[in-house]
Order: sequence, then C-alpha cells, then structure tokens
Amino acid sequence: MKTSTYIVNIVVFVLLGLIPACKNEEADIFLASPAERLNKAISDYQNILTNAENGWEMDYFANQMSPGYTLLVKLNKSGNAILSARSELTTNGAYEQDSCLFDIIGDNGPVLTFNTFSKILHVFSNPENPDGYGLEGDYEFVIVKAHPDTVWMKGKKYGAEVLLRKMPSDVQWKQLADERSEFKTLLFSEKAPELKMVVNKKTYTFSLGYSGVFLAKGSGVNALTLDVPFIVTHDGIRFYQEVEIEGVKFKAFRLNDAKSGLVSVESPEHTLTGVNDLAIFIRDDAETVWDIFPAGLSSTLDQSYKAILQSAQTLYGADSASFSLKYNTIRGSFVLAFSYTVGTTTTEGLLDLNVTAGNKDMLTVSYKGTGDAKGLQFYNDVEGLDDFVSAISSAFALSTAAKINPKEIKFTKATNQQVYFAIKPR
Amino acid sequence: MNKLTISILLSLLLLLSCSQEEEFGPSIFDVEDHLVEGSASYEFDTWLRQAYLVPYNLDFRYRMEDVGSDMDYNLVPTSFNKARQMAQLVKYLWFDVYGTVVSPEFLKENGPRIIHLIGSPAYNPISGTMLLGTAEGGLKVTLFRCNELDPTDVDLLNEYYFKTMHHEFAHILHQKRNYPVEFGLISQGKYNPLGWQYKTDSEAATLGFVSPYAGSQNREDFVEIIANYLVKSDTQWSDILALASQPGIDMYGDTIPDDGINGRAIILQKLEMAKKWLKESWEIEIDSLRAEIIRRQLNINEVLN
Repeated sequence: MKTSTYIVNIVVFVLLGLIPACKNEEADIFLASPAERLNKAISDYQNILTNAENGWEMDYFANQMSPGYTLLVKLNKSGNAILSARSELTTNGAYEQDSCLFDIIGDNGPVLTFNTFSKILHVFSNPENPDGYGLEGDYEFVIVKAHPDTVWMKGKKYGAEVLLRKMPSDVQWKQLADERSEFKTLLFSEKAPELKMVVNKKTYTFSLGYSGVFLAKGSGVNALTLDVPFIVTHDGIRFYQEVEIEGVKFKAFRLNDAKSGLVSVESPEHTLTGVNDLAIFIRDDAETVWDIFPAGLSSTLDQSYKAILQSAQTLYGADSASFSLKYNTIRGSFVLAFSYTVGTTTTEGLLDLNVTAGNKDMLTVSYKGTGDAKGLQFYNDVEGLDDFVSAISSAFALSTAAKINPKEIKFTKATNQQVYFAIKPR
Repeated sequence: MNKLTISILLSLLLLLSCSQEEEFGPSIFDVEDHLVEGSASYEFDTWLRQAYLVPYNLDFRYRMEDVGSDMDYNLVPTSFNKARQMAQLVKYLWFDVYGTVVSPEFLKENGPRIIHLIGSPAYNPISGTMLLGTAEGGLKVTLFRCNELDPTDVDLLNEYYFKTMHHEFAHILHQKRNYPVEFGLISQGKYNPLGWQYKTDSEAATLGFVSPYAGSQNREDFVEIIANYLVKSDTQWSDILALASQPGIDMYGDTIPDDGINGRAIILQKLEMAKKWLKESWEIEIDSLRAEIIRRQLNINEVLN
C-alpha cells in the first residue's frame, strides 16, 4: 500500500468514526435545554411573585424544629422587597417594617434570595445568641411550586417548608400583623395551663404552647413524646407537619366559639382543650399566685382598697399595698394575702379562706376567721380590711376572655353583678 | 483536487476548530453596562461600575452569595445602606490611597478582583473566634461584620475593617512575591495556631507580636505588622511598643515571668523587614502610605453621602 493511500484511509476512518458518535443520541425528553427551562421558570416565578399587589403572607419556619412566624412580604418589580412583622422578635414586640433587595437566581433550581439585610427576615439567620448558630433559619428559598395565589418554597440550607399566600388587596398590613399578634397572645402565654386532647380514650397533654413548639406527651411510661412546631393562623394554629396520634392525623386547628379549645380541622371530634371549669381550675391549682389588681376592681371594692391603702400608709408608712389569692401549703389552705411595701421591704399577712367549686364556673369564697399572726393583726388594725374580706366572702361567677388561656379571671358576685374583682397570675 | 488533498484539508479544518482558543481580554468580568434603569439598586450599581468595575476590573459584591462564602458558617447579608458606606470607604481609604501614593496602576495590576461583603461575623463556635476577613488566591477579599459598620468610630473602623483589608491585601502581595524566609525565624517556636486567642494584647506584645492573632503563624505575623502599622496612629503604635516593653499580663490578670525576650525590639525588627520587603519588592514606601491613610481617616465624613 502506498503511503498516500494509507494516510487517506486513516483520515477517512477517523471521520467515519465521528459520524455515528454524533448520530446515536437519545431523543430529547424536554423541548428546551436545562438552562432555557431554568430561565423560563425564573421568569415565570418572577412574574407570579411580583404580581401580588398587596404582597404575600409568609408562613415562616426557620427550620423544621422551630416555631412559625407570620411575615408580610411585598416583592416589587424593581427588585426591592418590603417586609413586616410583629412578634417577640421585633423591637419591643411592636409592628416593624423595612426593606431589602431580592433576586430570583438559578441555584438549586430557581431560588428566591433576599440578598441584602432585612431585620425582619434575617433575624432568623443572624448567627448570634448563641454565637455561630442563632436561630438557624434561611433567607434563601428554593421555589418548589408557584400558583398565582400560593407559592410553596423550601429553605435552601435548613430545608423548612415556607408558604406564601397572596394577601387580599383590602387587607392592611399593620392591622393583620397586630391582629395576629394579639390572637397569639390570646391563645398562649407562659402561665397558661397545658392543653389536653383525648384521642382514642387516651389523654395527651400539649404544653409550652407559648414557645411555638408544643411538647406533646401521652400518659404512661412508654408514652409518645413529640416536639410539635406550629404557627398561629388567622383562626387557630397549624402544625408545621402533619402529626399522627393514635392513628389520627392532625395538622390544623380552629379556636372554638367558646374560646375554650382548638378544634381539629381534619378530625373535628378532637379538641385541644384549655380550661373547662374556671372554678375547678383555680381550686386545683396549688402553685399559682393570683394577684388581685386595682384596675379590675368594681367601684365599691376600689373604694375599699383605697381606704385600706390609706390606712396602711398611716399605720406603717406603706408606699403601696396589694392583695393576692394563693394556696399556702404550710397552712394547708387557700389564703388572702395582704401585703404592704416600705422602700424595698415587703410585709405580708395571711387570712385563711375556704374555696369551693360549685356549678360550672361558680366559686364560693369564705373567710375562715383564722390566719397567721400578721394577717390577723392587719385584719384588726387596717381600716377597711374587714369590709374587703367580707365583700369577697361570697359566691362568684367566674369569667375570662378565653378559657384556653385564662390570663385574667373576673369574679362577679352572684347576688350583685355590680361587685366584682379580677385576678391574674403573678 | 485529489483524495489526499481533500483528506488533509478536512483534517486541517478539524485541527483548526480545536486550536482556535479564546484569547484573554482585558477584563475577567463583563464591563458592559447591563444595569436596568429603575431597578432599586440602579444608582448604587452605576456608582460601583464607575468606581470599581471599569477602572479596577473589580466586582464589588454587596449582595450576598452564600456559594461565594464558606457554607459551613451561618451568615447574613450586609444591609444596603451599610454596603453603600463600605463601598465608599473602601475606595477612599484603600484604593485611592494606593492610587495616590503608589501609582494609579498599582491596584489595577495587583488588587483583588472581587470584594464580597458579609453582614455578620463568621463565628467559629468551637474555638470561640470570629473571622473578620479572608483573602483567597490573591483574587478575592471577603469582609465580614459589615452590618456593624459605624463610620463615626475610626478606631472600630480600623480594627474591624481597614486593618482587615490591609491585612488581607498584604496576603495577596506576599502570595505574589514571597516575604523573606528570615522573617519566619525571628519568632520561630513562639507561634501558636490553636491557642493564640487565649493570649492578651500584652502577652502577645511581650513576645514580639503586634496582636494575639499575629502569634498564630508567621505569615499572619508578617501581614499583621503591616496592617497594624498602616492604620494605627503614632500614639496607638507607641502604645503597642510600650506594652511590648513591660512585663506581660495574661488573661487572668497575672504577670508573666520575664523570659528574656525583648518584645519591643522584635516588633521593630519585624517592621523594618516588612518595610524593606515592601520597598524592594513593590516600591512601596509604607510610611508615605501610612501618612496618607491617617490623613484621610480625619476626613471620612466628606466621602459619605
């Protein structure tokens, strides 16, 4: 074979080898390239997100074990985002609003990133308290799915599901944030009793609701114990994830009309119940100190209280005086505690009370005629104290704003509704 | 045309298609103006383009990119207002200083190509330390804790940002041209990469280090000498030397026994070595640079708008 023919053959074989390598391709599954599809998704999501004229209500969970917070977000076509919130994380728990820049980038799929600082959002990601960790929340969200009214997202680093719901055009942001915050305060407080739910005849307690993460416990040694993060919604709460107890699935709850419990949306026969009977609740609570506060007194009792204060000032040089109801384990009795303060020194005297629960929310209080030495001395010396004790020695109808979280309980005299006082836990 | 010619032409064509490589242009970034008028950041982005991108071929990234940082850290972005202030201060107290004292071309040739701002510190909870800045491969400088920027407090500005910038830039310079090997011998055996944070300023100074971090390793020692000398006033620098002349006080307030080391002499020896290296390797007069920085620090308000 001549050298030239040899070279020709090699070149032709090489070129022939290239042709089938190009021909044997899989048929395209998608009409466009991955980059084109990503760009289209970004453009579509950009339109949806910036088309909400009154912005979005964001159900924000920093991570999968964190409480939920309501944030309000408006994404403008200019790339500016306005955010607002009212929660324990905002300054003095007041309504706050600020702005930052946002972008939708092609990262792990289309990602909504808030890439300059907003104190409303980035408080969840700020690595302080404890240093290095903070609340371990996301400010970048992979967009999972988007409809014109709802956008489903997932935190990029910590993976919590975050929901955006389009705000109706007539809703005022501050009003919504204030109402949500007040509703949360109505439902939960640090001193609220734990909630109970009976499922298949087994009672489960849900405590620590004020933290935004319930500690759910069954009874018995090997009972189920769960941490259940949730968010307060406009009419109740929603668990971060569906929770199954005794084979029943729970996720959303609504506050009932009596404001005594949260009724399961998925299984309405089940309710997270607060206090059923206020009289029994007080009678059986041996730990709480209930302050009788001046603003809750009827005019008759207020006059009596002022006379008592004046007398204490005259007798002891008191700067202030106060009453409380509590159970005293040493005396084995409920007591009315009267105390006065001079400077930083407080002196207290106790008068023993009988406390009896009658019909639902009916409590009868009566003075036993006994007390500790100080209590009896005050009873005899302080002008008006005997009248005050006499006035609260009666049958009372108890009421509160929400039995699910009785922060203040009003005692109205059964025989005279013009006589009342109110207590709140110290 | 015979078969041989056709084959050779085809082969040449194939070879050509492989050998036509792109040539490097003058910029690694697209310096065309793609900014969208009416966008929320248009005015600032335009300023950045004119101040950094076009003259220095530098991408000033104030929008945080987590992929551009260490994902192991929990970090937050810089606020827009702090980013604006920082961009103006960096130009005034760093880029314009070198442009005036060294040469307008110096930072174009040797400066970083990316400055990335981060709002929070990068805490290392295990060691109890926090990162204030990084310089990567001579190309990128990352500045942390930018949300704490307070332009009215020059000492804090220097401590948390400008000392860090000069520190990181000195790293970039010595990554291009090595500093003398002899420098590492001065405090050999005294470096403590894991326990430096437990040393007080006083303890570090008596050992011949201008800061506790300088005592972590010799390359940090080298850039700390430069950075501290550049940003510290005469009084502050004298204070360091005075501290180095006194018995060291440890973190418990106890006096450290005299180990015979003359901290002051060592610091001055290191400074002379750094000055000589800057002069011989980069034709930089560190004292002129320092005088310009200190002069500008008195006029910071003029550049902030």
